[in-house]
Amino acid sequence: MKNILIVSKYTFVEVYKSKILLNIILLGFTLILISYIASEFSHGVQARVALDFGMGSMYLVIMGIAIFIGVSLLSKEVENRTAYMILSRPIRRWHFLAGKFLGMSAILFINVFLLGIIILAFYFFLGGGISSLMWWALLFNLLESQIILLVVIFFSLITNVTMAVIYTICIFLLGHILSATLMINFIKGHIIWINLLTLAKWIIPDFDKLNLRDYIIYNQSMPLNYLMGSLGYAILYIGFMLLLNIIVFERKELD
Amino acid sequence: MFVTVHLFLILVYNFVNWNGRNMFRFNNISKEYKGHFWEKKFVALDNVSLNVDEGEVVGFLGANGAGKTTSIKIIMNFISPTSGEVEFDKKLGKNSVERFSNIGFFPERPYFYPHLTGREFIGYLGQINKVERSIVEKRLKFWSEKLRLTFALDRKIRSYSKGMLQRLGFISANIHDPKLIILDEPLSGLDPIGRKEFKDTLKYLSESGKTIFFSSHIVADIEEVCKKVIVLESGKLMYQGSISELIEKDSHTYVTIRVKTRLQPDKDLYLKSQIVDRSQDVYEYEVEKKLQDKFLNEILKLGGNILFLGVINPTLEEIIYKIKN
Repeated sequence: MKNILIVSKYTFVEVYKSKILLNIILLGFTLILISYIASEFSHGVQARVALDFGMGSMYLVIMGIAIFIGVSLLSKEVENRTAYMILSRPIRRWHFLAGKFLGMSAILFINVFLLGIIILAFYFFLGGGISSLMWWALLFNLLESQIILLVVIFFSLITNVTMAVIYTICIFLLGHILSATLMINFIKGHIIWINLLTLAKWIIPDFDKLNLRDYIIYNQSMPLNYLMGSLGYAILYIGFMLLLNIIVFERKELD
Repeated sequence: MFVTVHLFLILVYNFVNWNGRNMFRFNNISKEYKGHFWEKKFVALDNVSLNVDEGEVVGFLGANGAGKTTSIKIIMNFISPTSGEVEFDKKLGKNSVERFSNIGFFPERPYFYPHLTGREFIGYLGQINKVERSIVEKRLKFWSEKLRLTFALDRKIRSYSKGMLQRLGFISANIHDPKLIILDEPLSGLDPIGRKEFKDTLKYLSESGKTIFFSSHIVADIEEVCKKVIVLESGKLMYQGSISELIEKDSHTYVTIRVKTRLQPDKDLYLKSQIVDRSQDVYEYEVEKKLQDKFLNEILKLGGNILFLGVINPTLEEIIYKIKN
């Protein structure tokens, strides 16, 4: 367990020192600017439009960070042989992988936290009201980025970097459209499609469960048991993907 | 039944042949790589058996692509062999995690985390090796002074030159005071002064009782540092044993004789000749040892003077070339 924390600490320090956080702050202010410009085109719902733009842009930025840092998190270490320096020490491979994931999750947490604070502060500045659902949305954003991180790590372990990014973007898109696709009348009329998509929903993460942005924009509330259910789903999926990555990494030939 | 008997015989064979001093040994290791199903498989290692004894400095020699790095990756458990096994001395530990706390490894062209400083990186490895911070600092001070890297320890690794990275890699391999040190091409890319420093450091480690196994494709480096050599060629073991035995077996075959003579000796008595000083009639001849006396008599008969006689010791490089051919 101690080794996991050591690896996560230095993974965090390495990414932190690469000045990515400074870029995130700059990005945060860019998002405010975009939100402000967008809100100027609205009539009477400035704060809501600013929040919509801000949350949406932040969401895409966090997913981008998860994909583009995650894809090189292990593959680059193996390719550059940095992993050799660590794995030739008294550490198990899965400790190394779990440490890398934990360190990168800490980076994602800080990104979500900082960008979230900047966007919400601007929203409040424009007269928006507070809602507990906002914090849930930020948490779900973090969990979704962790799932995406594990998906991209998984693909980077079994294929090359370019294909890993492409596959992950596909999973990301499928994860968002599967639930909506099941609602289409054409699908409802064909049992084969229903079965096929239901099976896909068991394998591909259902990101629709973690999307609260529309509810926030329209000031809708969500029952606590739904939120807890989504939270449990995300945690279970993270656990499953982590286990899958560990199995693959333990057997991987580090050539 | 047959399989059981076969396994039992292998066990007995291994037990009988086990030398208690072996730090590790390869038992019939083969490694094959297969790309797509239509591609032919590539044999990187072909039934290689070798052993490295405690306290030895063993050079692992072979041309690029001979299978040295593949062998080292198998030792380090980065890849698994297609067949055969690696046995380690129990002293190194019961399992791979315990074993790795007693092994220092230095990969070929080491890469590091570019945004960490040298000190942070060594601290990181020290923590994984469960070495107390104060001991890590002490050892870091010792090694960085020895390898002249103290000035750069607090700089980010991305600003290091290749030689500095090699030095940092070497320090990292020794920070936990391992019993067995495995180095993959540690001298590649170093300038002559750096090479000399590294070789001196290897000699120092050898004198401290460490077992060192290092690969190189440069024969002279191995000849200078090691007592034992293992030679691989196209994945096959060509030779393993003492360097001095290998050289002695092949040495003293030829002599160089420098003479002052106006008349040339019979051509059958020497292999090569060259003019040293034509105006003074000084020539140098390479003569087979068995013909040495006959050649000298001939020169004296021709009224010449013998200026110099020396034994030619072939270099390890020449011997390896001979083995290969």
